[in-house]
Amino acid sequence: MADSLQTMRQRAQTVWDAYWKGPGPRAAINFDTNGWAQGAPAVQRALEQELKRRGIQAPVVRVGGLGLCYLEPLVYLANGSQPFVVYGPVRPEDVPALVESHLAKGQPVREKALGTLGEGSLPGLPSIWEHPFLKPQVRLATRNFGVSDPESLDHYLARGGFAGLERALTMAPKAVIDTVGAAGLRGRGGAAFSTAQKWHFCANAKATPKYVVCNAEEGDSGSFMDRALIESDPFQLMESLVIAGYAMGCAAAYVSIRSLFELALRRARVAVAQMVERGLLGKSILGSSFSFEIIVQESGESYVAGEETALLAELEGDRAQPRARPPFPAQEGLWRRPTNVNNVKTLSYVPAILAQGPEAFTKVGTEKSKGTALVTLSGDVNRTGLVEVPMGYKVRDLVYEVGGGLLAGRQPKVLQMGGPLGGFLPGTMLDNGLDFESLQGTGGTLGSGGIVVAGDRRCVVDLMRCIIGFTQKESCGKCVPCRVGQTQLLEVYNRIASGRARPYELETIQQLCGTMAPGSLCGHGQLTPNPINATIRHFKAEYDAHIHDKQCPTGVCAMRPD
Amino acid sequence: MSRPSPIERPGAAVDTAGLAASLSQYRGQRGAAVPALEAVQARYGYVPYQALVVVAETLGVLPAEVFGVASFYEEFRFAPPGAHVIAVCTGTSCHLAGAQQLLAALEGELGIKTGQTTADGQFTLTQVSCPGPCAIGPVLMMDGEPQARVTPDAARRMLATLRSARSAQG
Repeated sequence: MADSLQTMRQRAQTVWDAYWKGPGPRAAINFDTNGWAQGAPAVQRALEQELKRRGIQAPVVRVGGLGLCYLEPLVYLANGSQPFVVYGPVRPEDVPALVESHLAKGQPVREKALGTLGEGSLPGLPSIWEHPFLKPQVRLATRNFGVSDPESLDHYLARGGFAGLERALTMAPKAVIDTVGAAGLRGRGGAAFSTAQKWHFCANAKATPKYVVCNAEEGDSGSFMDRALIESDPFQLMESLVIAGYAMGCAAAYVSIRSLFELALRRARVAVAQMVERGLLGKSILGSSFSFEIIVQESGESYVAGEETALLAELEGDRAQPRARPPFPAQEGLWRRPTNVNNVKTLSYVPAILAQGPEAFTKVGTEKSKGTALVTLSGDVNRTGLVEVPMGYKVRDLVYEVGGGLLAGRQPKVLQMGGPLGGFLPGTMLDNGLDFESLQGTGGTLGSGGIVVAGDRRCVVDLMRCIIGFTQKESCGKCVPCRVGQTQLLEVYNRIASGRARPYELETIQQLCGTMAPGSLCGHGQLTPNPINATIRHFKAEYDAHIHDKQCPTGVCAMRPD
Repeated sequence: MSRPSPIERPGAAVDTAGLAASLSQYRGQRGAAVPALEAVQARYGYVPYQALVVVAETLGVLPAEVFGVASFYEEFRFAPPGAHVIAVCTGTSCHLAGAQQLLAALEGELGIKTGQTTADGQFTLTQVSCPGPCAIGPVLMMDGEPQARVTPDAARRMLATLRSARSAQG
């Protein structure tokens, strides 16, 4: 018989307090892919060696990312019952001096400190949440990011985890869906469809067993929030899947994660294993009559696998190629059974909506777009990383307040938004809000939330060529309009960028787009024209210079054959 | 780019019994094609023909079906890669951060084109999109480990370190 949630919470609180409040010296390192890619393993080794050398008993806890990608890896140190001081970026050679000053002598190193994290304050050091990158943020889905150990069920419990599931299990399944509906939650994968409505479709389907599938096939270049949500808080996603499974009467959930996302894959598996061990997955969850399992499956690197029917094909052991709809997955999905497919971001809001009620979600955001926007900011800005701001937050504030403006005082030329199938928002239109409605008709889109800022020395044709290079390579080849259209488009862009343009290239592009958009089987071919049309609409003069004058105004394109 | 047929390739020594045992969790599970292929590539560095047959027998499908899945993904190789595999991200963020210059530097330094392996069998250079540290590009995966903010000079130093480690081993 598994422990009750209350017993588990008591034990979890002890584990959490030892890490968060002390007493005694404590150390943590932010270990997500961004920290890993910037040397976190070597920093952790240096930290452990130094602590051992000095005989300081402090395990180094691996926490997720605060979103401050450009400052990673971060090291947190704390003495006694003081809050952590967050240091970054930390190199292995910085570690001995940090440990000596902060932990041995009790003096935080102000020059390297970004702020404090935890309860209480330290004289002369601001809270990390006052950092300009973090201050405008409202952290709903990312509330545990960089705070707790993503591989610790105890940390998740102590932070209020599983209260949503606990509450859901006391409700009728339909009432759970209605609660999600009252929150106005809409899909964050790009389509912005009502999550509750989607859940109703699957719940109302007659056939059994039913499945819920988590789409973690994040392939958009410039987007990494799905991977981050799994790396930094996998339990939140797993709790959400159990709630979704209960609400729709599903037997199991599948989470498909690329083998390339090694850390996310590992942490998802760790989370599932711990939940099974504690009776939060399996038979009769928390003493209820509900039984459920979660299968974490490795997937290959395919962009089209992010399309829901292609994802289902891959899970069934076929190539990740889409199928014609209808039948929709809610009627005939995985193994031809009713299946609900949700994006990681969408699911990550569910536990808090159940635990705190829909108001916690609806009080943030705009009239039609509730909650927060999870975006990843990269490109020509000073501060890059993962950002959670209220829906409707101005794009200009994202670039200047959060992002700290453009590198070397450049002007924003264009924002590439929502991945390769998203759009382009010109730098003159930054007063629009980040939500599902405000960006309509601008050429920009919230889409999946990836935002790449390009400064005035960038060439729009070159950017578009890079994107078509990607969409061409990633076309699955099943339908002709996409397979042939992408290749023809890439050849047109190659000609334009190499000074070999024919005078009628724009007409050729329009013809190809006019065939692909209505004729392609899935969003890959249907939406490829979106960014192209946005660039032609806002930057036609730049195209004309390449095509008719054989000149690249920014000097980026070679304008000669490769 | 044409792919070599696995059937024409004699294939490396594959311990079919050991491999079959390691794949036993996927027995009879048609849906586990990709995880099984990932396990094969992790074991051998590529997907040898005999291993592909073992996967097919394990899953209960035809080898042609497994090959159909494997050849769909660019990541599965049918010939042994170099001792080190360098994969450069060419996504939009990395493109702005200088991925093309990084690729050109690596191609120049290794004397090969992207997609090729050096004659001494030491390095394979490929592209990848997109491992995810978009905020800190350009990014490359060095033998599966992500490395951020890799300038052309940093990449040359990385190669020099790997080469000197090899000559030290003699």
